Amino acid sequence: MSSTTLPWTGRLPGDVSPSRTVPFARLATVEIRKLTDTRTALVLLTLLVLGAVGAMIVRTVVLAQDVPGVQDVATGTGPVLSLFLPILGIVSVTSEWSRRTALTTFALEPRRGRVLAAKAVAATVVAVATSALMIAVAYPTTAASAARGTEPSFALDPVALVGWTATNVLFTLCGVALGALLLNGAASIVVYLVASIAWGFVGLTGELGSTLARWFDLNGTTVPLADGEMSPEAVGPLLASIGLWVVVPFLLGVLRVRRIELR
Amino acid sequence: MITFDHLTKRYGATLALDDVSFEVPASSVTGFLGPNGAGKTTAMRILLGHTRATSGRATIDGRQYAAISNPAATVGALLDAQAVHPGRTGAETLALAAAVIGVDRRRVGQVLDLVGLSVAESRRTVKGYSLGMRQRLGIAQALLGSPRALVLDEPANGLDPQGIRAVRDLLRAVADAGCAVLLSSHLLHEVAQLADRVVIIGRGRILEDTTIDDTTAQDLETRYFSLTSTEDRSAA
Repeated sequence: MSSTTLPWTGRLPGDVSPSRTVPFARLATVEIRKLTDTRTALVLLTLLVLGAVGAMIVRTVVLAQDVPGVQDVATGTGPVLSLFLPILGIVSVTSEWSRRTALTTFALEPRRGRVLAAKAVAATVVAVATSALMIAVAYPTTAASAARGTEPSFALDPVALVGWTATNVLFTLCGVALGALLLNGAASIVVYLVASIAWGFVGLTGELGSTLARWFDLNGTTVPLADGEMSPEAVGPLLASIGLWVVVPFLLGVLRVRRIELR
Repeated sequence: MITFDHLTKRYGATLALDDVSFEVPASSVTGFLGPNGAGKTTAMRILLGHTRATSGRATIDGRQYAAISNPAATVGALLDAQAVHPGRTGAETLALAAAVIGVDRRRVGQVLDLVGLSVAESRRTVKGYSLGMRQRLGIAQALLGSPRALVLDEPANGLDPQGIRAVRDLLRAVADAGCAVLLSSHLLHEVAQLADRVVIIGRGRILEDTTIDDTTAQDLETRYFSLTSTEDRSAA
């Protein structure tokens, strides 16, 4: 230790004015970095990419279903993404509690709602990047299936791709929201997975059940969005399910996190 | 200057802090002493906005922590050296904080040097750090923003004698550079050597608030035990 070179002595070129509020972009950038800078995070991201690409290759090249189009090959990874991306969103919030890093995170930015918003933006960026990666990988995969003698289609439907990407973002944000609400990784993952399955059964329990499932099952209401076939009738259920699974839990989570005592 | 102004904190029937008032002036080290459960950590947690006070205020240069923009550039804090992600390297932990505060990357190297963590050690994940190394890392993080106030909860915990002396020298230098340093500790002799003032707390009440001179340094231990004798067994 040398007590002669205190950082108090002079400013460095990269220093910003300390009195300025922390810009939101800086918070979001740091939150993206926190999604990739630990081994746990890297394992999760690797599983996500390997799982999705693996499923894509098995489905397209090995099973050689029908006549593949690059669009279907890319969006066929949806179920894998909707398994892993929400877990990533959940862990981005709950690890602050399980690792107790919330102490530092909220000391650096005491406006806790702002930190959660930065986490939502970071998770959105990862979801969009993953979707883009799937579309990119779908090209060689589709081409490889063509080598086996099928006639693939390389046509893309931009509207459907944006809708599909938005669907992936919605599932990811659902994870962030559940994580913020429950502040417990295991519980949030269970709630997310059980809810995904449970709606199928609710839909079978008569008139009321099927109406509820039609309006509030995010897996169902996002199908028209992901397929690029949004109709006016599909808008209401989509918004209702986003409200129930993304907006309401996120807002309740922000309220909870703002009040909670950090330990 | 750090100011605790009639701070009271109630948890159900328990009064964790009972009308606590004291100041930590700039350019000084104030030792915050008291048995476990006396309220030291609670007072520091309220100062940093981790917990709300039932009544009263804790401020830094007149402002509550949450009202300060980019607060880590004004107040450095280490409340719990264990609250670090074990999967991150020491250097990455500091780099994340530096990025939020908006200080030059080279600050990371500077503060590592200040607390005596080597570059090689900083490249290892925190998982393998001893408590002493985590304390050093936490102090480094607290110093990143060149703060005017420094709040440390038992930073000597887990440090070896070399580390304790090094931290003592460092905090002296930091205070001499103008910083208001509040430091809780159970090491009475260390505090007697380092601090300009001591505040003794027991069962949530301030029992003593005094400057330290040669005489008080001599009998700090006697004074501490006579003041807190009734607290020993009752403390949580």
